[in-house]
Amino acid sequence: MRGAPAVREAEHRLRRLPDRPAPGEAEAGDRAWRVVEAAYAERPPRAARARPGWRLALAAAIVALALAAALTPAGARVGDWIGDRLSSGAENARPAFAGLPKGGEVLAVGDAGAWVVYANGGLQRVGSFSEAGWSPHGLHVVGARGRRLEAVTPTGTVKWTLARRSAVHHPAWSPGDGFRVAYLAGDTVRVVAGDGTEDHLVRRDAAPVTPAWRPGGGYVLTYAAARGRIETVNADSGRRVWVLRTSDRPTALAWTGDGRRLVELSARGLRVYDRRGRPVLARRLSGARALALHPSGRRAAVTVAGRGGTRVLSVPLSADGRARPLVTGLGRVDGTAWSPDGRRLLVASRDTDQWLLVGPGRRVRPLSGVSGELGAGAGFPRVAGWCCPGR
Amino acid sequence: MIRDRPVATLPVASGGTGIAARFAAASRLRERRLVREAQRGSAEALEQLFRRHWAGAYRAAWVVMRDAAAAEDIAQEAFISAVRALDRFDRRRPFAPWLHRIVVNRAIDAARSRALRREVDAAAAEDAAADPPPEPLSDELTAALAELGPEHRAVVALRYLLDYTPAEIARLLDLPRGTVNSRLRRALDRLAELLGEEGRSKEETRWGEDGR
Repeated sequence: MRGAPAVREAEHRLRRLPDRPAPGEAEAGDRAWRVVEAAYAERPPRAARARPGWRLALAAAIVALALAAALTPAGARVGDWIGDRLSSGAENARPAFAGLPKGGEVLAVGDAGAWVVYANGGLQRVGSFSEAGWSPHGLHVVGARGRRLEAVTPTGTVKWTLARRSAVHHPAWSPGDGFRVAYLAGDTVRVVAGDGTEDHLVRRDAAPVTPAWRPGGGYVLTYAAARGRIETVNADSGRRVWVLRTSDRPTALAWTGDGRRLVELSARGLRVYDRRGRPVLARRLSGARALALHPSGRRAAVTVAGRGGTRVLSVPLSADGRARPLVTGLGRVDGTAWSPDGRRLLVASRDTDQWLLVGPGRRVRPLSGVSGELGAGAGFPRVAGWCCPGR
Repeated sequence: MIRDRPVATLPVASGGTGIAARFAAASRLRERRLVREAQRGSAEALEQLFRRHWAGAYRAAWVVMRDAAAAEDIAQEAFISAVRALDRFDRRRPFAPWLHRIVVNRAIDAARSRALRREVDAAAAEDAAADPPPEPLSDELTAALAELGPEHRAVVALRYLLDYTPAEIARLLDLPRGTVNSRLRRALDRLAELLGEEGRSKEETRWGEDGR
């Protein structure tokens, strides 16, 4: 222990702490108030108070169940079964995500919100979103929940929120500088600046497909319109760049990183278009469900459902080569994402409660019991993205 | 019951009488009214609550994190959490301890995870480009605080910045009172050790270069 005078001196100095503001305090307060005010304006209406009678009935039912579990053999068996289920979840907590390779962070969406999953297995909940996506450099996450769109940091700090009259869905942050976010509100396409300002309507006839930003100059956006049309527009001016009609309804759209190819997925297969919307390639893949473009832009992982279960195929985006299975015999697949370095594909296999890491040589490494990772009630974690190149 | 003491006012002894006690009681009543009005939808009342408590929340987060951007994020997120839970808040309880509990626990978690992740990476560099850079520590007290662990900085912030008693800190952090006392004692010993060489020559406590 230090001498009493030295301790008193330290205490004396500490007591002066409240007298001076911390660096940046006033400016930070002004910024934070705007965000807090927005959150306050968008909070849901107050819920009606539960009636005491209902609460009493619930309490009585819980007590009765507890007594039954404690006093009857059947109840004890049920209690043991519940205990087994709970304890097996607890034993599985944590190790699965620790198997993720280094070099990026995965965005996962469960029933209770969105989470950033770190390569060391660490988790950070970023919001109660039903859909979410990374900003181009992984500095932010954009999330949709009900009628709200929200931008948050990977630590969950809200940067801005906005509310629309219709349900908000399918958000997509623009690549490069990240200065725009596109999203759908009902059947409209809207765009907001990356700082949450200048929200505006772009088009009114959108199909429920995440819009795709074309990398390169300007803010050019491709979206699936009603009746199988695909339109490319300037997101700021609303000017149409080109439009094409397809015989199938698109289910996914993605531009390659160099902005030279647009990939469209439908239930019947995959089509590739050039920068001006002219067809380059068509591959028939009956039962195609989901698309994950490889960072190189030369191939894509396509999830295909069929009689023998679900397969994930590696499909070249040129006429050379043919589609090869990466993993087969799956049940429901809830998201695929390439690692930032493009060496691994992450496949969320709901029926086996696993995330599958498909590495070089098509070696598959399962991360098992992932539902237990996000905590009770969080559900199966769908893979919403893996960020970011160069991180 | 944990007492509510706005930062920047003199501490009021528990059960005290006289002007200071009456001031504190009036302040609590006014705050209760602000919470009630904010619950009913008054943005003006919420802003008054925010302005009352921003400084304390931000400073506490700053003491634990020593990083302006992180302190802003943590304090802001604490207020947003408070706004989201406002309808469930019991107005008979003081607002400040509720908020400070959120701030300090988040700050401790963030400081721990930052230490785990060794968070000096490209993302931090990009964040730094987007946000104002953290001011350099210019005074020996803040430099000495930086030598403590986040848990110790948290109890120091609660005790000396926000003026909670050790018993109140124990309730805020869900810790045994003995643990709080020992953390405070260790923090003071360490600070005394670090500041010892400096003596009493430095008169003014300063947070940073701007000296405001």
